[in-house]
Amino acid sequence: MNPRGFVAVSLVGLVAVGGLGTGSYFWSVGHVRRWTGNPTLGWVSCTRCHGTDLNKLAWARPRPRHPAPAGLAVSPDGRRLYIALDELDEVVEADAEHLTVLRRAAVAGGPFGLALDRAGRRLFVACRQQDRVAQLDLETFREVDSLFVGLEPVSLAFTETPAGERLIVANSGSGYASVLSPAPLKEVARPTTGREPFGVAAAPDGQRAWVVARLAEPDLARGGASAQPAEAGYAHLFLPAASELTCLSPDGGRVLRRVSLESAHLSEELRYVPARNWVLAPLVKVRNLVPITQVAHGWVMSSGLAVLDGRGQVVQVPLDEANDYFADPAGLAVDAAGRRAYVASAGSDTISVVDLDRLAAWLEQADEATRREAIRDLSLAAEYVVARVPTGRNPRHLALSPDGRRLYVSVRLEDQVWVVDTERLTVSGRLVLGDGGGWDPIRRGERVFTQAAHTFQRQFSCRSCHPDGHVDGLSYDFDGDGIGDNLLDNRTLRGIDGTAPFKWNGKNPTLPFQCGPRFSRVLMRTDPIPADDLRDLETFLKSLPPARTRHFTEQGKPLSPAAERGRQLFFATQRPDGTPIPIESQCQTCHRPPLFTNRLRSAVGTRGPRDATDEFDAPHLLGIAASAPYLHDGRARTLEELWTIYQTNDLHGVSSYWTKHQLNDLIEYLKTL
Amino acid sequence: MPGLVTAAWLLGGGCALEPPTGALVLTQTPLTATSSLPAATVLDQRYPPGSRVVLLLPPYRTQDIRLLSQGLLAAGDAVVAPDGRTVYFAGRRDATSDWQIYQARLDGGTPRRVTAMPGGALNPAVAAHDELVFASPVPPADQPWAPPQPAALHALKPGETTPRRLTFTPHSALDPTVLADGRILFVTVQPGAASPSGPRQALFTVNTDGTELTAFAGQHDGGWPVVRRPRLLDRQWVGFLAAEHPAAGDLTRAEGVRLARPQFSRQPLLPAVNARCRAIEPGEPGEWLTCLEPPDRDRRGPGESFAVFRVRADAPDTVTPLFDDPAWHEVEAARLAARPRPQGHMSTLDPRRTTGTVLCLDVNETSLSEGPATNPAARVRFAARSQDTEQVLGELQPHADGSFLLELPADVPLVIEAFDAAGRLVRRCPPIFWVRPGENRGCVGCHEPHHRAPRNSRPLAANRAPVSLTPPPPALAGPVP
Amino acid sequence: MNPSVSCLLAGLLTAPALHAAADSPPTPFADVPFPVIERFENFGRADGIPDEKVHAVYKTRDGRLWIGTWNGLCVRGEDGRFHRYGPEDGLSHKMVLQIVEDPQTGDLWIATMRGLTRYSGGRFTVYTQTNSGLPNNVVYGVDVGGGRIWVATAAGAGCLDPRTGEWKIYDHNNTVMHEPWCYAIKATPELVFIGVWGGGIIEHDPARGTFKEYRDPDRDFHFDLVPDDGPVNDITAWIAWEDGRLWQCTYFGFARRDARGWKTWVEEKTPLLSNFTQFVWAHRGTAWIGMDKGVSVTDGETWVNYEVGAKGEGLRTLHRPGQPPKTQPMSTALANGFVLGIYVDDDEAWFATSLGLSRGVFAGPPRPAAVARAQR
Repeated sequence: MNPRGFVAVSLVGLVAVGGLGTGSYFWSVGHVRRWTGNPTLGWVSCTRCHGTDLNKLAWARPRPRHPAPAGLAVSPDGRRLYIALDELDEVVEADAEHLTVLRRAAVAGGPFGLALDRAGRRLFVACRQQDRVAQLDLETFREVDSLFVGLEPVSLAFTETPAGERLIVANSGSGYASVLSPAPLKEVARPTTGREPFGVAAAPDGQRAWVVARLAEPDLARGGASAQPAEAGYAHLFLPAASELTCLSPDGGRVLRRVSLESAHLSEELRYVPARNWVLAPLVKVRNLVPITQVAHGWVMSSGLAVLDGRGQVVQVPLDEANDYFADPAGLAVDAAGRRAYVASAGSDTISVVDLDRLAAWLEQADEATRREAIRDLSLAAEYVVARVPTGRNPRHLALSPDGRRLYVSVRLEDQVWVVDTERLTVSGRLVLGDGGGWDPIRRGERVFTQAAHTFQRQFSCRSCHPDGHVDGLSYDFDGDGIGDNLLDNRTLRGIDGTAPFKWNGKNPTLPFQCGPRFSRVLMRTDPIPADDLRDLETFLKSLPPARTRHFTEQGKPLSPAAERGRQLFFATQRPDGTPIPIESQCQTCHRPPLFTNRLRSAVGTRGPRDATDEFDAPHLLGIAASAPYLHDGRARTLEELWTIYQTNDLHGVSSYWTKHQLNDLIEYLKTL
Repeated sequence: MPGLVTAAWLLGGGCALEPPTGALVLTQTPLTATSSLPAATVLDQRYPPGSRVVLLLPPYRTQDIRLLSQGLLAAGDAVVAPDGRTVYFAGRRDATSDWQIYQARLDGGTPRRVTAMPGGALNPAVAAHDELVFASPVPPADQPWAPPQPAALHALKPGETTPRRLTFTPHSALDPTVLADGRILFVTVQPGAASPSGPRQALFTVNTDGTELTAFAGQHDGGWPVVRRPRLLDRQWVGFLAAEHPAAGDLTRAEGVRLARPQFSRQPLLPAVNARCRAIEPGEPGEWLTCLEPPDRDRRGPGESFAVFRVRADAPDTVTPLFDDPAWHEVEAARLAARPRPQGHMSTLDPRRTTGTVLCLDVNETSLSEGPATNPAARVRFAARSQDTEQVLGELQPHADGSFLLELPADVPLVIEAFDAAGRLVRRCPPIFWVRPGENRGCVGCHEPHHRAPRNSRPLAANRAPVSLTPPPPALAGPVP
Repeated sequence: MNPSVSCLLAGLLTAPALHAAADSPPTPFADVPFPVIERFENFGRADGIPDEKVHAVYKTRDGRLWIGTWNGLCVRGEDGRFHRYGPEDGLSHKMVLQIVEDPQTGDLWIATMRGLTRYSGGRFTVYTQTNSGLPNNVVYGVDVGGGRIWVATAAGAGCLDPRTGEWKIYDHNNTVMHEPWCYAIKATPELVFIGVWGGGIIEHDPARGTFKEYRDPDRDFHFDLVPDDGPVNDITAWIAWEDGRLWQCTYFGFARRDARGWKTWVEEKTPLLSNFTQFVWAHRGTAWIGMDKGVSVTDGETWVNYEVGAKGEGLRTLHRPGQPPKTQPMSTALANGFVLGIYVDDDEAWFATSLGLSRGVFAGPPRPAAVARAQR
């Protein structure tokens, strides 16, 4: 081709490409505007709605598994230590004195919580990922029995009642406990509990058992007064939430009492202290109703211990000190004499040693008003916390030897079990189960996520608001955009890979942007998380799968008839009478599968009086049933309320033609996502 | 062996090598004054001409010393940065020049002056990101707390030349040190709390951007009113010097408060020592360093000098001599060793603004337990302190839950007064606190108990826009005697 | 027969006997196959009941007595006084219509005029038509069966599976139900019966998903033209079920269905005190029927009626098959003849009336405690 021809062809080609590009641009802008009904929207990437493959998302890919110790149990003779390794689907038997692994048992389904029978012949295992309880015969160290329970069982307690042996199981994903008879495993009852039951304890005489919920619920506060549903509005957002400590009768599973832990949550363990007739639960005292103008003085949250005494009175006492904080209290152990309690602060890598005699003496002399306000007094812990023992990264579970001399600590993110000499209060040994996984960015990111070191005075970690990456069910008032303005619901971090941008206003394009300097400024008030840590944190967050809302046995099965009807409603393009539903008002447009979000902002008529904008990011709906409350400020306490109370002029989907049957069907479908 | 290491290090110049473990930075003052002139400033009084800052290396012999304040008339007030290598001190080049902050050269060269503050600078401290914190101007010796221009704390980032002012107290703010959480701990006068021997001093904290002034210790404990030179000793204790009278010759002892409850734990740190103390500092792990007169008063002769002692933190009854040069008073000693860097603080200030916001959760929450002071507040008055007068900015009626939210002028000492329904003044916050531009300042109550976290309740004031008291309403503006 | 005329006639016929018996305690009825009330104890505002209109009464397995009133839920304390819970404590509405206990969990389920409330372990949880799948806020009836909670509402029956949170609605759209206004519901081990206002009774088999309708075959609204042919009327005000016997209250008579078929009673032809029956409690084969004129108690053969006389005195009348009625005065009477709710066990009977709460004390010596416990 001669040069002139080449130039001509090139010009024509350039014009053609340019024209095609320009045409494509205008077509795509028009396409997006047409679909969203937003005439001002500029060009957005096609990937917002197209080309997402769930199997390629980080959380769907296999991830390295580590021998991270979860629940611990010590044999009655003190010679054996049992360790649940949930990531490896194993339970380990170790020599409790010499700290060597003796036997390993394969237990499928993420063995997490452990409990021994009284004689130490059977080990019961809560398998979190397969929603079951397994029984191991300790002679053969093999699984001999199994029973499906509720979603995500995490802990269990054994006791003997006049009606026979009982196991109480906390099903963290189901909102109820399972009461089982263990020989063979059989369900006796399923008493409802608070939200995310996590810790469980039983009195040795079998008269009482207790289950503590990890999340607080708005309706439980003030003796239930806030259970009064508001027809519309926000007043309920400004009432303190409470988590529930449920007292059961272990024989038949009847609920005897529901105790409110006001403005407290994230209790993950529970211990009964027979010598004092106390029930102890570590807790995070959350102050989400106070605008976050500062972090100092426990302004956002602080750690404490709930003491439920024999008279049924609850006192919350602080574990934190005025200038030093011990975030994310998780594990709890109490010696047999009821003299000492040990609390593992998973965010601060510390065991706090509580002298229960001193605590009892303080409680004895304190009047009722002082007890009621005790948790606010950050100088109080010095009265009864007699030592702080540093540990490795992320101590989560504790167990004491029968003589109380050895405290076993599952140092989860270092793949080790540490032993603390309780007389000297020094670390006397370590059982190394793995290499700590420092080579794994997900593991490194989890360390960042669970570490309080990035917050002023180490007051809280990412996990303090996002247990296991999920929600705490509360709304917060950040002061960066004005005190009292833009109340924000805590969004889940599970299943967020591929759902950028982040934040309710959709202004944070990436996770490092979201979790870096911005968060340091509005919440942590310290230096931003270093860049390397931030990268690891991002990797970890993207590896978190959506919250699981279907029982293990139901996974992969067809939808129920009601859910199938709901699915059809979700994807409806016209009303029953044939009237078309505008594209921009169809559920599937903004909540487009497979992530059920188009990652764009929409005005769905939910702007509140103190909100700065009409438009909010369309959240993904994976695991939506487990992430109440809903809407950007958390005003809708249930999925139903989205449409029964907070729907405005069919802006949030066209719901005006739905019957109550259809609404119930839709919700059944949403619960399957 | 330590001697060999020390010798090698000294000969090697000390620049490229890590200093030997156990090196100390000392402030030495002459045994006898070389000038008969009265001291003009507090530093002249504390560090008379000839005072010097030196590096003392193990095994702590008088020949193991290197002069760090070379070429200066007087020097002292040394501080070691968390990196364990950077040493700042206050120095004065000659009799006509001001005291300024210098950075020492560990190889013994001439130190580098890092401040050029009018009126001088003193009390260096090192915050996160190697930010230098200091007080300025240097107060006069005869009126250190309420001079015409009280000393304020300033911060200077590495590489910058213009320091930022951090404090706006009506009295001098002195002796800053940096806590592990990044806050600056300092000393100023507790307004309205005089003692027979003068104004009562107390410890306060402030963030590195000057926000969140907070009472730390000494406000209401009835201890000795003179407080100086606080230091974070370890994870449990903050030590400081205390005296019954401001006069330098009086007994000055090391006291401390526990970090766990600083307002309720003040006590002598060296209970068995009945000798003047000039410094208490962190030492080797589990130890403190202190500079004392010989502790045994009976064996102390008139010429005995201050010396450096070691104290085991878990057995403070006994002090062990560490170093004494009979030709000098060793009045201050600090370890030349790295320590964990303090936390940084992410500032939320907006320099474009001239106001800050105050959210009080419940003006009626108070530790005052009897009399009119417990009456509910019907009105709250706000005033800005200027010199000796207070200018009323305005009043507001708190919400039913006692909360209020308002915008106030930034960077001036503020006075808050609560009046009951009968118009009686029931509670008063003296001019000790301020807000920075764009700061959102929260407080739990009015004279609320120390170390009190807030209740988890939504203040009614948060449901309304902040009341603006800037500029002051004309009817209420005007000086109040 | 006009109810008022029949009442008058009954009064005239029994007047001499009444006069004779007034001076001495009534001789207990002998050989009655169910407990007979000897006297009534009445409770009202003086006992802490906030409103005299009591809609429901229920004794839980732990022995505590609960009542639902026009103005709140009350529990009787050990001191005998009633402690009130209202909306401020978490109750969904002050007007309580029915109370039932989940025998497995011990939870109390409370039907109110604005939602369903669970009282469990001292705490209330509210289900409304806006925060849950509850069909309608006006909840007339509630029952627990098969681990599920069943409700009768003004817009259909509903079923809550507490384990999954799933609600199902049964109304005229998806069942054979004539209309959605459901007044009563009773869950049995296998079946669920729904009393529909104007629609008879719906029998639902949850396992099979089937529905069967029982309507009055004669289709006459005011009269039971053909006795024993089916439900006495379509206006089902309440139902009860026990051991295979289904009892139906209507405003036009009373009916029972058992293995032999339907049996109907109307006041004109049977000892039934009034056609206006509004509540029935079944206990050991006996129906305790609350109506506008008092209480009828029957096992289907023998009847004992309790009325309030013109002067407020108590009257009880024994009807045996083939024998003339025998009426006796009582030293005490029901608090009011308008009986809205009943609870009966082996030890006592409780009556919720529109003017207070009554306790019926059974005749005869108290039974040994061991026997009482065993029977409970």
